[in-house]
Amino acid sequence: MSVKNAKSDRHWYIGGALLGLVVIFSFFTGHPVGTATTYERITGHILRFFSPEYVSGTIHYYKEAAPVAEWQTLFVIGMLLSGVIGRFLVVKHKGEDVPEMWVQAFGSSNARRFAVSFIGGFLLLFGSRLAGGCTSGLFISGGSQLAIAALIFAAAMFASGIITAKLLYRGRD
Amino acid sequence: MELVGSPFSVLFLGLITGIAFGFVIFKYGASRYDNILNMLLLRDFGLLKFMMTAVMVASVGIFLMDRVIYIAPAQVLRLVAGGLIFGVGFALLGACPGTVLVSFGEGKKDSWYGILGGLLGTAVYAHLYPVMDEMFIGPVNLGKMTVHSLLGVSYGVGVIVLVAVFGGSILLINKLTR
Repeated sequence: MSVKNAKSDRHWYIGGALLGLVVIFSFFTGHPVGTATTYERITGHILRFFSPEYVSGTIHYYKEAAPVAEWQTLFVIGMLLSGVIGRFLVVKHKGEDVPEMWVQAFGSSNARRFAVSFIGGFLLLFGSRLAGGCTSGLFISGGSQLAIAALIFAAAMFASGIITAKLLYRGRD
Repeated sequence: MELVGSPFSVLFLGLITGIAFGFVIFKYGASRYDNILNMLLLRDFGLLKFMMTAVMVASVGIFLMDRVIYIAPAQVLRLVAGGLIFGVGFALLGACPGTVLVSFGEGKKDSWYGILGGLLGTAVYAHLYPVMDEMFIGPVNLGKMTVHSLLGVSYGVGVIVLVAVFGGSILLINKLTR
């Protein structure tokens, strides 16, 4: 066990160092990594299609996340593309729709997994907007600049994340 | 059209940075459901070590380049409330707002629903923003606080402290899980 752990850990350190280099590049070029704001921008574009008055009348879209494409929009598209590249050029097979670990604990019902994913996504982005960032923007970019905000956010997200995961998988392992 | 707000060169830079960031996440398994859940279930701390290593390396690089861009203010209530809600979503979806994009690109269908839920989450937040601002954002603001401003030391010493604390935490985790 310990030997296996030590070996698999090395790969996490190398990966983490590479991710750190990408973050350094993003700061060098003047645009810290982050994704959460773009979700709100996309929502703004979708809602504007139905009701431009609502979007221009809702203060937050214009105050902090005006629906205009900029660096982060393309950063998000790039992250999407990296998954496409990984799937077609690296692993060369389609990813599983429902994670294996989930199937073993909760059965193979797609509907149940998709419903939980939807709720999870909702809370994830609502929480991101409330906190003012996500794992990449607030924790990684913020933490790399030594912001205390990053540490407060990380402590809160791990506290509730650990409790939720433990409750979710209680008696199922 | 107003769809394009920034110059092409900036958008291109965003695209290649996104591909690089996402590819490292993909390649090292940081977007995998089992890696994220096993971290939250306290079974395997690999992903935590990955994130802490990234922050340690980046903090040294940003210090050496003298490239601090933006320090988020320590608005304690919003960080705690937002972080707590985020954590529940993190465990339910098994992804964060960035890694779910990588999974979407890989064609994993559950990430579609995560992203749709996320878009709705931002819409509801934008709608409730005036209330949220009054309740969580305004009240307790400690300002642009950093590790070094809190300790009253220089920026360089702050970086050493962060690297020592994160590096020490990794060594401690390794000792405890062995």
